[in-house]
Amino acid sequence: MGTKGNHLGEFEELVLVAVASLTSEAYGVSVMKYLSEEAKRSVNISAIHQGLKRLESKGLVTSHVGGATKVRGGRSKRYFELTETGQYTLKEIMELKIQLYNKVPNFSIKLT
Amino acid sequence: MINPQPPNWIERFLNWYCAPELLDEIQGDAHELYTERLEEHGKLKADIRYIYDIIRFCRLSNMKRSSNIRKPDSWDILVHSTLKIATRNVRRNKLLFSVKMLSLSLCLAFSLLLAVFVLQEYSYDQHIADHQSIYRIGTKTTTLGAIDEFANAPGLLSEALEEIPEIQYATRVTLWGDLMHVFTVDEISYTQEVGMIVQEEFARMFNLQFIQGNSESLNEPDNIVLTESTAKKFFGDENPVGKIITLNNGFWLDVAGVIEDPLPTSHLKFDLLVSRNSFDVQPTWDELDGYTYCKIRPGVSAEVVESKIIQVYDDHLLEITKHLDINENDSFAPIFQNITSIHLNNGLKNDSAVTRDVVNLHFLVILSVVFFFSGFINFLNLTIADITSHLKQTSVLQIMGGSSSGIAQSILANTLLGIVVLIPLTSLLFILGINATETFLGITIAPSSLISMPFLLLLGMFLSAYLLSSKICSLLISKSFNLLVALKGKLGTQFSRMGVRESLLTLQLSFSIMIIGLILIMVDQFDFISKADNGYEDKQTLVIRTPVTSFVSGISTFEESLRKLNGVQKVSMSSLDMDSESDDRYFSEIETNDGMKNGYFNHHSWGFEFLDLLKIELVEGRSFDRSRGTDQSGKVFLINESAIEVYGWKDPIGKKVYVEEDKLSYGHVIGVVKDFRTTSMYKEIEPLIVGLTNDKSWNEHVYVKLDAIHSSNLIAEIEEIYFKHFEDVPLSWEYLDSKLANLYYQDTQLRDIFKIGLLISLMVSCLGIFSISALMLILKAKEMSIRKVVGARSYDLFYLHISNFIKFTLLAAICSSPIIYYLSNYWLNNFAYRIDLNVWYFIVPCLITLFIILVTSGVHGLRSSKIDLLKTLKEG
Repeated sequence: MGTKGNHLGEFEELVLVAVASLTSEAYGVSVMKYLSEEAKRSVNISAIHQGLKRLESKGLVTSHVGGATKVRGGRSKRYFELTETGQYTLKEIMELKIQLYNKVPNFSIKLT
Repeated sequence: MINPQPPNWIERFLNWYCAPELLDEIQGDAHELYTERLEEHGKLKADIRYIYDIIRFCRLSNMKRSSNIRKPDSWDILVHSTLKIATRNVRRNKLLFSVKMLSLSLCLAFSLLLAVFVLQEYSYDQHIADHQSIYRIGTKTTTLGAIDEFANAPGLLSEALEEIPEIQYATRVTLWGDLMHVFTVDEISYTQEVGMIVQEEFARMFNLQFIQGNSESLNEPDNIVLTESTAKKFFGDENPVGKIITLNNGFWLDVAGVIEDPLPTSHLKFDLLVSRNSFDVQPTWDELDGYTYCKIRPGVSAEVVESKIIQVYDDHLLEITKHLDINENDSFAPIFQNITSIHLNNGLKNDSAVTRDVVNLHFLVILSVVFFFSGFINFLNLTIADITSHLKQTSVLQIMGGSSSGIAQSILANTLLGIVVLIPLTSLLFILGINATETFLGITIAPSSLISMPFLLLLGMFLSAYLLSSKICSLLISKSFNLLVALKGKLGTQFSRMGVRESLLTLQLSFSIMIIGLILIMVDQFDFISKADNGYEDKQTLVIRTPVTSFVSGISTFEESLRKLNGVQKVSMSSLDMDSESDDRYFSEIETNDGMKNGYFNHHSWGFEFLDLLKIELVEGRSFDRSRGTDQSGKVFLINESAIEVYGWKDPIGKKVYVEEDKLSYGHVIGVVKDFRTTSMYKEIEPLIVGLTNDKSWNEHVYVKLDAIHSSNLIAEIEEIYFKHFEDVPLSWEYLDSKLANLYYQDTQLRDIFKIGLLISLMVSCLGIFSISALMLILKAKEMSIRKVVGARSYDLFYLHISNFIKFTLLAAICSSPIIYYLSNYWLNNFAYRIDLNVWYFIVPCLITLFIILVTSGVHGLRSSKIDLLKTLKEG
């Protein structure tokens, strides 16, 4: 699986943002739902897992196991959280994008 | 209420492929989604989507992988610890390892070489389709109590065979090499080619592949078919078909086709085929002429056909024996031979087929097996000794790993490591060997023999034997392995009492003594043959082949001119061919005690000076004398000593002899010569009647005795005279001694093989004993030092080290002597003239082995006697 250096792909970025906004409730299914509701992207659960794994291997998120529930047939979840590098990367991506978009003539973006 | 569950099979599929550490989260997430969908969409949809999810999860990164988690299995241990230890040991003990591998590879490669050669010899003519149903018919004659077996059959036999319903067809092949033929192409003459006179059936029977033309052309007169290499030799790259080849008798032949060269594993060797219809010679019953082959119909038993052929011989007995007075004990019978058995039957007379003595082949098989085993025993020996020398390591490993198969594994690791070295090394030696035999011995191993089934099986056997050896090692050791004792660096006491290593050493030494002994006897016998007294002097003698046309132009003038040359001592023509296995038999009548008897007798003729020229001894009477006018061809005869014995003549001088060839009148025996050889040492000397030659009879050879010191251009002068007399015929001459060497060509080949075998076996023994004694030194270092401390002298230690080996050598000598005796007798009985076995043939190999031991292990003995006390005692 080529991860093309440490650059984030578009999908990976979405997942990262999802993990960041779900704070302590980020695991496979919740990330998937978040993406389908907020970003209108319906993605298969296996792709989410893959994305999370990649982010973890890049050191942007960490994970821990816990939270077995009955709905899950007694199986535990793997929760993901942003690492410091993750937060920094997220911020950097945003700044880079704004900086780039601002250079486009006749095009402005309002930051709320 | 039980919640609906996803299908069981897909769960099992997930469990099967998913890496265990990922299973929980994947299954958990999938289940969560399933429960939700169950409520929203119902069971069916939920199931389908669940299955889809699980299938989507089936990615490489989620799969079970051994490397995901380090779970030590047996292979890991092997690779990571045992193999590492094995490599380390090899590096530490480079000498031992290379000795072990080199000697094993040498033995294996030599054994394989012998095997492939023997297999090739056994596969002669098996490439021919339907070889099981093709037979050659020879003739066994019993006349005057003497049995002769000929490869030929009466000329008319093949026609009679066609009438037997069980025989599909028969064909007759005549060798065209009896007379010297000259083929002239574009004014260049060739004489070396072997021609055969055949019909179309021959090509059909032996499945000859025509590159150009077809087999039909062999039925047309004046046609010649060349083999591919002959066509290339005659015509180069030009298309040979349609070209004309001129013969020395003025006739010419059309090239009608080209066939593929006969395979090296074919008993028939020829360069060209001439159609039988080119000749108008009618075959007869009373002459053994050519080789008759027949192909029997499928499903017919050979015995039935054989009995019918015996019947044919009986029916035509009168015609076969037209010129003979038949005694009641005389008989003529066919020899029915399958073509695949021709090559290994060299007992027939007049056989032009390439044959080999089967007893010699048996010996090569024995040699091959002995080499194979001695190589392995040497290897086993060294491996066991090697393992013993680092038992401590293995036992530590065993304690750490807790596995009871620690030693077995370390041996397996050694074996695997060995294979990496053994296979390339053996292949290299094998290929070198094949090239060497081709260059130095003239033995070509056909590539097809290397991929033949038996050979591949043999290769598999060798490899499995090697793997088995590791099993044997671990078995031997595990039986006697005691961890506590092993940690002290020794094998269990039980082991030493068993004496496995001792008996293996003895076995190895016996093999060495056996090989050395047998090969010494063989080399001696071959030397005996090549140096044996032939009954005449073969030095400084030139044999010139005379052309067929010589009796037209007169050979005596040629003789006279040679005699005048400076440096030529004596010249005489003769029909005798000293190296021919076949002999000339003529119908003759001789006087016996019961009156006149007739039959085919070995008859030759020579000139006045022949006896002096070859220094053949005269036992009784006188030789041919030029000064007596009464000594004329057909009037006077000489006989050899064997003839007196066979014909039962008490007083041979004056006995009447009548030879059909010289249709004159009775002649008389005037002298008896000592027996001299005209055939190889495998055969007894036969009775011989010699007449005086004359200008009108054709004598194949002119023998020229040269002065020991003659001018270097004498040969050129002889050539010049020759061409003055026979201008169109190329000169063919040879020294008599080199001609005789050709007689033992195959034997010389074998002798060289045996000599190489001797060398290799000596080398392997040296290497083996050297490394074993080196290991003994390591094992016994402590013992030696303690002995020295309590006052043993260096001499005592040296003796102690050596005495072990000497003891085993003596034991080995006792074991191997009977085997040497039996095998060598079996082989020597094959020869009519053989060396006698004496006690030295048994003592010398032992002495050689002892010498090897003294030299190789003596070094270690010396070292052990000068052992560094402090160091060894401290280390223990």
